[in-house]
Amino acid sequence: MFEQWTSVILSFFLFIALGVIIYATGRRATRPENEKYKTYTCGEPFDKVSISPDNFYRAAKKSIGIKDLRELHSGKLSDYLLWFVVGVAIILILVVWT
Amino acid sequence: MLEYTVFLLIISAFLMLAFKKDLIAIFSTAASFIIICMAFLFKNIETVRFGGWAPPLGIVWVADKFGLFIAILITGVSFLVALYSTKYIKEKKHRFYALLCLLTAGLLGVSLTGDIFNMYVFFEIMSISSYAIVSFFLDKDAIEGALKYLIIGSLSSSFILIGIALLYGLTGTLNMADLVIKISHTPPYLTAFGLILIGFAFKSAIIPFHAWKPDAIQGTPIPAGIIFTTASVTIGIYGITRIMFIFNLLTLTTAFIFFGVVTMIIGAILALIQINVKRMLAYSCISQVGYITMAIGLGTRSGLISGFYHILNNILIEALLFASIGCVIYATKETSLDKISVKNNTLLIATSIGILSLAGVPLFNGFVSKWLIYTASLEVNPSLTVIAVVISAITLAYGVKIISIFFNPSGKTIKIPKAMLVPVVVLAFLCILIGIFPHIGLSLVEPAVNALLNQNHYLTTVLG
Amino acid sequence: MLITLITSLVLGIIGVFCVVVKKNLIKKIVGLSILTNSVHLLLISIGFRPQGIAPIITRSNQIIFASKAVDPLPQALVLTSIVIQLSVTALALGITVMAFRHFKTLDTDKINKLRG
Repeated sequence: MFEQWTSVILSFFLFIALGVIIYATGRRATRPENEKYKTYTCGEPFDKVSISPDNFYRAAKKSIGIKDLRELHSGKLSDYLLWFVVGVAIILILVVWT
Repeated sequence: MLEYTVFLLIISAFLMLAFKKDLIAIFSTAASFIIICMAFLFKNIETVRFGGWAPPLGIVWVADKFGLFIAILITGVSFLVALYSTKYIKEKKHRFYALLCLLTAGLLGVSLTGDIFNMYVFFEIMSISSYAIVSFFLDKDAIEGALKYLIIGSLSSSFILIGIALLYGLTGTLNMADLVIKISHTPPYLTAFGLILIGFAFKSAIIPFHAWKPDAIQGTPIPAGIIFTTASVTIGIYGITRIMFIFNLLTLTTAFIFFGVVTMIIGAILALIQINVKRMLAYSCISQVGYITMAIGLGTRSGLISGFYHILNNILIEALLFASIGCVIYATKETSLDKISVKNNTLLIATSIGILSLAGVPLFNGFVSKWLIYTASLEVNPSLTVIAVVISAITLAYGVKIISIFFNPSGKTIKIPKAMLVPVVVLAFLCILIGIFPHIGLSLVEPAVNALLNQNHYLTTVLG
Repeated sequence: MLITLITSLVLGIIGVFCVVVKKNLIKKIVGLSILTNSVHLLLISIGFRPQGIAPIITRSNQIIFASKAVDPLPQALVLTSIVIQLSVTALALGITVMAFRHFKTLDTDKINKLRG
C-alpha cells in the first residue's frame, strides 16, 4: 500500500521549500507610524495585547447541541452510572440479536 | 523467560517501598522492555507452562506476536514515564514508583496470558493500582476523580466476572485455546461475549462508558495521566480484540462501527469548549479511541492493520502531548488555558509536532494511520470516511488552542530540567521518523495482524 | 440448582439497583459488595453435583472421588475473587474517609466540582 511513498514525501518537501521561498522573499509586517498608530488604537496603549485561547470558539459554547452535551456531563455519579446501565442494555441487545 | 519480567516488576515494587531509591524502578522497567523486545525479534510464538501442568488443565502463558506487540508499547511508555517522573513528582516519590511498577506488572500480565481467569486477575491488579494512583495528590480534585473511577470501575469488573462464570458453566474450561474449539454462536455464549466486552470497553473509554475519564485525568499527576491515556486504553482494546479472536467474530460488526463513530464525534466536539488543558487532552484521547474502534470493527485485513497502526500512533502522540504540557504545568503550576503563557522553543516545536500529527498532516505519523483508516473504511461505507475526515479537521481546530499558549508576547521564559526534556525529544523524533519512513511502523504491525488472523497456528502451538 | 441461580439473579439486580440509585456513598459501596457476592454464588452453584461430597481426598473416599465430588475449580476462583473484592472495598472506604474530610458530605450529588 505504500508503493509511491517516496514520491509523496519528496513532493511534500518541494511544497515546503516553495513556502519557505515565498516567506523569505516577502516583506515583513511593520507597525504603522506615530500619527496613524494613535488613530488605529483610538488613543489606547497597545503594547503586548493578545487573546487568551479560551475565547476561541465562544459561539460554539452557546449553540444548541453542544450546550446540551456539556450539561449532560453534570458531574454527578448517579447520572454516569445510569448511562453505564443503559449502555449495558444497548450492547446486550445489539450483540445477542444480530 | 517472559514470566520473570512480571515477577521482577512486582518484586521491585516492594523493594521501592523498602529502600526508597528511584534507580530500582527505572532499572526494572528498562530490563522488562529489553527482554520483551528480544522476545519479539527472535521467537515466533512461545508458551510458558506454570508448574509443568499441560493445558487445558493448567495455566499457560502464550506470547504470540500480537501480545508481544502490545507489551513492547506498554513497557516502552512505562520506561519513559519512570524517567519523566524523577523530576515531576517531588514528595512521596517511592509510593508513586511502587504503584507504577505494580501497574506495569498488571498491564504486562494481561497482554501475555493465555487463560481467561488469569487475565481477569491481572486486570484487577492493574485496576486497583490505577485507583490508588489517581488519588495520589490527595487534594479535592484527585479524591473526586478517584471516587468516580473506583465505583464505575468495580461495577464493570463485576460484569467481566459474570461473563467468565457463564463461559465456564457452558463449556467447562478456562483456557483460551480450548475455548476456541468449544464455542458456538447461540445466545447464551453471545451474552457472555457482550458482558466481557463491556468490562474492557470501560477501560478504553468508549461512549457511553467514558464518563470517568475526563474527571479522573483532571485529578491525576501528569506521568500517571500519560499511562492512563496510552497503556490502559491499549489494554482495553487488546481485551476486546482477544475476545473477538476467541469467538471467531473478527468480522464486520455494526455495533463497533456505531459506537466508534459516536465516540469520535462526541470526543472531538466536547474538546472544543474546554478550558482546562488536561481535560481537553483527555477528550482528545477519547476521540482517537473512536477511530481505533471503528477501524477494528470493519473486519477486513486492511481495517485491522490501520487500527493497530493507529494504536501505535495514539501512544506516541498522546505521550508526547502530555509530556510537553506537563513540562509547562511543572514550571507554572497552572492548568487552565486562560492563565498559562510561556515561552520555550523546544516545547513549542514538540507540541506543534504533536498537534500536527494528531490532526493527520502529512510528513508526521498521524497521516500514515489516518490515511490507512480512510482507505479501509472507503471499501465498506463512504460516509464513514466523510465523518472521519471532518473529525480530523475539528481535531486540528482544538489543537490550535493548545499551541497558542506559546505565542503570547507577554509570556515568561521557563527552564525545564533535562530529565523531563529527554522523553519529549525522543517521542518527537520518533513521530517524525515514523512519518517519513512508515515501513518501520508496518514492520511492527504486520506480524501482529498475521498472528491474529492465523488461528490454527495458535491452537496447534498451545494444545500440542 | 435452580433456586441458587434465581437467588443470584435477584441479588445481582438488588446490587446494581443500590449502586445506581442510592445517593449515599456508603450505600453504593454496600451495593457493590452485594453484587460481587451474587456473582460468587453463581460461580459456586455452577460446579454443583447432586448428592456430591466435598472435594477433599481422605483415605476412605479415594475410589469414588472422581464420580461423586463437587467441582473444586469454581471454589478456587471464588477464593481469588473474594480477596480482590476485599482490597477494592478497603480502598473505597479509605477514599470515602478522605472525601468526607474534603467535602464535609457523603452525598454524591453534591460532590460534583469537576464537570463539563
